[in-house]
Amino acid sequence: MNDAKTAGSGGALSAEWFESLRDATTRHAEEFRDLGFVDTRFAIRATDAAAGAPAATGLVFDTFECERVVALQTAQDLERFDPDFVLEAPDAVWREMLENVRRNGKADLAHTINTLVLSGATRLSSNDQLREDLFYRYNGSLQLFFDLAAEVPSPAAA
Amino acid sequence: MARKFGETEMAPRTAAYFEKLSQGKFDLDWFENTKTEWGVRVQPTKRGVLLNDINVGSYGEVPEHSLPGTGMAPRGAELDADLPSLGYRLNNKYEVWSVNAASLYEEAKTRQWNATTDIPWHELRQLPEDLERAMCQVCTLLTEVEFIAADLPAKWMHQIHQNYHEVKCFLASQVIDEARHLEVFRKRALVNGGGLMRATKEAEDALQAIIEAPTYSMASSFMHVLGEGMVLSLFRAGELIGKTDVDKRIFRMCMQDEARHVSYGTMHLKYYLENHPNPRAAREEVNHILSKGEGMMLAMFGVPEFLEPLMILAGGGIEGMKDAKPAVGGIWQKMVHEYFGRCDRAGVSERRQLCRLPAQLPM
Repeated sequence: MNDAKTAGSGGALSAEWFESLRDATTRHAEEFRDLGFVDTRFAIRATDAAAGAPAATGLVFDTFECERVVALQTAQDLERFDPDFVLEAPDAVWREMLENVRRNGKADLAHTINTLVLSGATRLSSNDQLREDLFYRYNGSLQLFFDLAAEVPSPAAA
Repeated sequence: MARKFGETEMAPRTAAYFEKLSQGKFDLDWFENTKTEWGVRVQPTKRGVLLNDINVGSYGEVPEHSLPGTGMAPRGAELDADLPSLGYRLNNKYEVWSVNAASLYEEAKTRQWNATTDIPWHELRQLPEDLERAMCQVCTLLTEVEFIAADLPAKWMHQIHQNYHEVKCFLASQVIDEARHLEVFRKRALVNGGGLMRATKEAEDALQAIIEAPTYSMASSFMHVLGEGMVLSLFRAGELIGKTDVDKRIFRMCMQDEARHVSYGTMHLKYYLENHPNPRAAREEVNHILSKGEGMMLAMFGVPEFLEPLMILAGGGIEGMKDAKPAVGGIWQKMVHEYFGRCDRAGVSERRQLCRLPAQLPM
């Protein structure tokens, strides 16, 4: 496991990109505070990542903010990270979501993270239903986090 | 016996104290002789001061059994003699406790929202009549079920011993959550020209069974784990079937609240089963109420007033109902699948074998 600064990976879901997104959220601290406590750790994964690419990126939310971004290099790193849940989809799905957010300023009705899971484009998994339910409990905060991708250069265009 | 001080009749202790005061003396026994953990301090964190933070020293010792004759004296206070009994009936920790009650209460306070001002009502657009009718029927049912989710905790809250204040606080937060939910669904039914639709006997029968469940833990298993669990899955699907930003936002906001209630209920059920003095009887009791509840939920959801509005919304209109059957069938499968997951977490995995809910609807 590496923190984002030493991860050295690319793609839509790289830890470096999420670190930029996390930086953007600091400009919206009041909005996150208004949405309330958010205490969860989860992983984002591209199911078709290139060989040698990190297995996933871990995000740790604590109190009101995304506190930490972690590059999870291997499947063992992902297991040790012990996420509440994992969101996974082909890289193209993530890129389309981020492009949609960038174009509209926030996800449109078809591209919220919950809608993507419901439609089957993205898979939500956990080995504990109550930990999976954290995706529901904090959904507004998590969606705001992804909506702020509108303020971060798109990885597709980078 | 009452005594007089001047012209006023008062309790002997009050009269004696007033006599002392009139002579320029103070008592200060409470100041000098109260047993307290003087010096106990709590360092605020970035969250402030949480209920769990102040569970320090003896104040954090939650008794397994509580004496009913202690009025409403707060846990850790020195008790006067002869305090009245206020009739609390749930005096055992296992009957109400959940390890996450305090943290869920804290979370609930920070994640409150306002159904009047936090929903962008002015952005709600006119929908075709079939979609509006379907949405109004869904909102009618949801308004009904939110009543039970407020009334049930309120029914039991005042019977819970004050030593378990974390649970009382959490249930109070649930009552206000559910008040907001019934408010928002009633508003949604009325605000766009549709109005309330049909309330079914099947739904009302299920709500009656919840409110009349004989014990708190049976009621909680039925409502928090089974009923609210299924409604949580429905709220989540609401973001898929909602036709406007407003509708999706309503479902999302309610979904967040509902997940807290389900989490409390699941962890309470686990605590109950693990700490009941007669675990076998407790398990039989829970399985009995869940079997009954599953049958009633199937009756409540297996009616045209529930399934057909979902098909209309998922299909984009009455013409698309047929094509929407797989989507609605998928919602049902998810409801049952997630219910089993919560049963596993609570320690009643046998529901997977005993369950009366079909894994699939005849779609």
